[in-house]
Amino acid sequence: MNFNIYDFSFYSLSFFSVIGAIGAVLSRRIFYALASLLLTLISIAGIFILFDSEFLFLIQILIYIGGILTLIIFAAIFLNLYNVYNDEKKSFGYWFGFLIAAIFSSFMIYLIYNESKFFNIETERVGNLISSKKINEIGKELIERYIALFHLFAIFLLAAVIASASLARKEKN
Amino acid sequence: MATINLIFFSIPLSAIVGFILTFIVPKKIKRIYFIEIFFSLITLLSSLYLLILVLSKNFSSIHFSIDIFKLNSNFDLIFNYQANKTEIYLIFLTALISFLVRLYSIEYLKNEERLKNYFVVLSLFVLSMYGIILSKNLFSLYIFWELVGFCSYYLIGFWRHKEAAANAAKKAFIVNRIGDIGFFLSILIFASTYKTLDLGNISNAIGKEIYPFSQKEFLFIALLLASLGAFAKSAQMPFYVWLPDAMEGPTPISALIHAATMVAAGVILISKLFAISTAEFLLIVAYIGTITALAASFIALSQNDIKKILAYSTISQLGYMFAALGFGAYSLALGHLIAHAFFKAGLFLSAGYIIHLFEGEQNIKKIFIDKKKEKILFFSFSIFSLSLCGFPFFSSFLTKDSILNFSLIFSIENNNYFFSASLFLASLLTSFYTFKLFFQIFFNKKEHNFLNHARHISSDNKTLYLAPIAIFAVLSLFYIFSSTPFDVNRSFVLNDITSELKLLAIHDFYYRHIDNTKGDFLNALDLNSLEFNQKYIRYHLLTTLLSLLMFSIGIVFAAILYIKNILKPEKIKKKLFFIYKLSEKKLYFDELYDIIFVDLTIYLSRFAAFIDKNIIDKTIEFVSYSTKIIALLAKYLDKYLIDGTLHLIAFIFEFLGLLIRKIQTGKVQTYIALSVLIMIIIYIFITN
Amino acid sequence: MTSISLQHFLILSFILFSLGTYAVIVRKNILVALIGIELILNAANLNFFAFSKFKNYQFGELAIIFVIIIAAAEAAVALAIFINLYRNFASINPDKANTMKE
Repeated sequence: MNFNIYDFSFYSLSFFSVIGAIGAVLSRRIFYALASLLLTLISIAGIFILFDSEFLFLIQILIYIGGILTLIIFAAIFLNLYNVYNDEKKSFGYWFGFLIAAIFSSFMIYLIYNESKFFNIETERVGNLISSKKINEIGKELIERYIALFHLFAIFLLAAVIASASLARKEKN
Repeated sequence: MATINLIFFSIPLSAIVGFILTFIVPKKIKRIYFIEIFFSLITLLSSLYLLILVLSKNFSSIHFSIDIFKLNSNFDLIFNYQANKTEIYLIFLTALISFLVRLYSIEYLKNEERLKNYFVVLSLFVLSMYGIILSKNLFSLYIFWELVGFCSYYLIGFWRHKEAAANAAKKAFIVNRIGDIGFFLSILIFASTYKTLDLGNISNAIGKEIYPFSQKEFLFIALLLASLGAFAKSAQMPFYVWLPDAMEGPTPISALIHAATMVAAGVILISKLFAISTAEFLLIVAYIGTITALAASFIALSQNDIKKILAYSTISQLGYMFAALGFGAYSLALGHLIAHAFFKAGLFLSAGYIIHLFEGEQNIKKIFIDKKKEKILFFSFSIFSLSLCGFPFFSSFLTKDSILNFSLIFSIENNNYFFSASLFLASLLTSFYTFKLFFQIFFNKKEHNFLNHARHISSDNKTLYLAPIAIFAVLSLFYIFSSTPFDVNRSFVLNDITSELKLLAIHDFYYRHIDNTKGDFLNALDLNSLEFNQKYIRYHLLTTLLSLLMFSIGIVFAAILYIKNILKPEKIKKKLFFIYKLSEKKLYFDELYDIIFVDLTIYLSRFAAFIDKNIIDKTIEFVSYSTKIIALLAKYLDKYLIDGTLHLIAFIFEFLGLLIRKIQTGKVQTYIALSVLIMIIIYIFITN
Repeated sequence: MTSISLQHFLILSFILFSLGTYAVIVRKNILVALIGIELILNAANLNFFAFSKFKNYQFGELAIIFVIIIAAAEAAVALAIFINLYRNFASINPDKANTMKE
C-alpha cells in the first residue's frame, strides 16, 4: 500500500476536525471549547484546500475564524466568562438526545453505505475530481448569474449589522 | 180541575218556599218564625180544603211526576207522586200537627238563641214528610226518608251542649242508618229486576209473576230488607233503642217527630209495599209488631220519666199498627196511625207543659198538679189517656178494638194464639202504665209537698201552650172517625182507605195469592168475603168485652197502687224484683247492643292495633333497615367503583396531560430537540 | 489519485453534524450552543463541497459562500441576542431564560 499524501492528509485533517469538534462540545470551559473550534475550522479549511478550492479555504479562514470565532471570543470576554465552569447535570433531555442520536446515526450509516440502492446514483471513485473554480471565475459567476442573490445577501448583511447593533444596545434608564 | 191542582200544589210549594225563606233570612230578625207559621197555615188550609173534598166524595186522585232521566229502555228514573184519599188524610194529619206544634214551639223555645235553625230544620222535616207520603217512586221515597232521618238527628241533638242529647242523636241516626241499608238493598234488588222504581209498575210486573231473580223467595227477601228500614225508623224490635233516648230533644219535637209523623213513616212504607207483599212477609211483620207491642208496654211499666213512658207507649202502639198490617188489616193500621197521632201529640205537648211548670223536672214521682188549678190540662190529659187505652167513645177505640178483633180471628184461624194473647196482654199493660202516669201526676199528692205545683205561670203565654193541647183533645174523640162510636164499618175514614186498596192495580194478585196459601201455616183472611164478615161480627162482642176487661184490670191496679196507697208499690217491686229489673233495664237491650257492637268493635280494633304495631310496623322497620343496608352497599359501590372509575379516568388524563405538558418546557433546547426529531422522522418517511 | 470517496465526506459531515446537534440540544451553555450551530453549518458546507466535487454540482461552491455569509450574519445577531439574554436573566443557561409559570 503506497503512502498516499492525499489520503493521509485527508484522514489526519478529518481526525483533527473531529477531535476539535468533540473538544468543542464537551468542554466545560468556554474558552477551551472555542479553542477546539478553532482547530476544527482550520482542519476543515485544510480539507478545502486539499481539494483544490483556494477560494473556499480563504473565506473559511477569513470569515469563519477571523470573523465568527473572533466575535464569539469577544462575546465571551464581554460576558466575563473566564472562570465559569459549567456544571451540568445529566437531565432527561440528555438521554433523550442520546436515543435520538443513536437512531439517527444508525439510519444515516445505513443510508450512506447503501447510497446506491437508495438514490440510484453511481458512485465514483475519485479519479477525476472536478476542478474547483478559481476566484475570478467565482466573482464572474456572482456578478453575472447570481446578482440578485448577491444583492439580497448584501442587504441581508446590512440588516444583520443593524439588528445586532440595536439588539445589543444598552438602554438608558 | 185547575183549582184543585193549584190548591194541591200549594202544599209542597209553600212548604218548600217556607223552608227556603226561613233559611235565607238572617238570624237577627225577630220573630223569624212568622214566615214559617204563615206558610204552614197555607199548607193547612189547602189540605183542609182537599180533605173536605174527600169527605164530600168529590175528590179524584192527583198524579204528578218529575222526570229525572230516562235511559233508553233499560232504566228510567221518574219521580212519581200520587195523592189518593189516603194521602190526603195523611197530609192533613201532618199539616195540622206540624202547625200546632210550631205554635207551641214559639212559646216553648221563646228564649232559645238558635230558634232560626230550629224552624229551618223543622220545615225541612215537614217538607220531607210530605215527600214520603206523596211519593210513589221508591227512590224518591228513599231520598225523603234519609232527609227525615237527618232532620230527626239534628232536632234530637238540638241542645248541643248537652252530652246526653248529642249521644242520643248519634244513636238515633246510626240505628236508622242500619235500617236504611236494608231499604237501599231492597231498592237495588227492585231496580235491577224491574228496571223501574215506580211502585205501580213494580206491582204490575209482580202481578204478571215476574219476581226478582225469577224466584218468589227473593221478593220476600227484598221486602224483608225494605221492612228493616221501616222497623228501624218506627222503633220496633230490635231497633227500638233509639226512641227513648230521643226524648232528650225538645218536647215539641218529640210530639211532632217521635209520636205523630216520623215514626209513622215506617208504617207508611209497609202500607205502600202492602200491595206487593207476600204472605210470609206479612207474617214476619205481624210477629215483630206483636212482640214490640208487648215488650214496649212491659218496659213502660217501670219507667218514672214522663217522656220515657210516652216514648214506650209510642213504640207499643206502633207495634199494634204493624201487627194490623201483618194481619192484612191495611185500613185499620192507617186509621190507628191517624188516631194515635192526635192523642200522642197531645200527650207530649201536655208533658211539655208539665215539664215547663216544674222547670225541667220530669220524674213523675216528684210531680203533683192540682186539678182545680189546671183544668184544661186535666181534662185534655184524661181524654188522651182514655183514648190511649182504647176506651169506647174515644177515637182509638174503633181502630184498636178492631185490631184486637182481627188478631183474635187470625189466631183462631191459624191455631196460633200468640198474637191475640200478646195483644190483649199488651192492652192490659197499656192501661196500667197510662193510668199510673195519670194518677201519679194528678191524684197522688206527694209527701213533703215536694215541688207541688211550683210555679204559677202568669207572664207566659199560656194560650200557645194550651190551645194546641185542647185541639188535640177534641180530635181524640170519636167524631172524626165515624158517625157511631162503636161501629167501625161506618167509619168514613176507614172506608175511604179500604176502597183505595181495591184501586191498587195489584189487588187481584193479592187475593189470588192469599188463596194459594190456604193450607199453609198462614191461613189468609179474605177480607171481602161474606164468611169473613160473619166471623168478624161473631167475635166482635167477645173482643170488646175482653178489651174492656183488660182495661178495667189495668186501671184498678193502677188506682190501688197509686191513689189510695193500699198496696205499696215498693212491696210489689220487691216481690217481683226480677221482672221489675227486666222491665226497668229495658229488657237489657242496651247492654246487649253494648256488648255485641261496642265491646266487640273495641276488642277488634285493639287486636288490629296490636297486629299493626307489632307485625306491620316491624315489617316496615325491617324493610327500612334492609333499605338502609342496600343504601350503604350502594354508597360503597358508588364511592369506590363508580367514583373510582371516574377518578381513574381523570387520573389517566391528568397523567397524560402532565406528560404532554412536559413538552412545553419553555426551554429552547427542548424545542430544538423536538423539531430535530420530527425532521428525522420526516426524512425517514421520505426516503422510505 | 485518491481513494477518498463521497462516503468519506458524508461520514465526516455526519459526525460533525451530530456533534453539533448534540451541542445545541444538550449543552446548557448558550455559547456552546452557538458553537454547535457553527459545527452544523460547517458540516453542511462539507456536504455541499463533497457533492459539488464528486457530482459535478456547479452551484455547490456558491452555496458554500452563501452559507458562510449567513453563518456570519446569524452569529452576529445571535450574540446580540445572547447579550440581551444575559442582561435579562443574569445567566448563560438557556433553561433560566424561561418565564413560564412553575
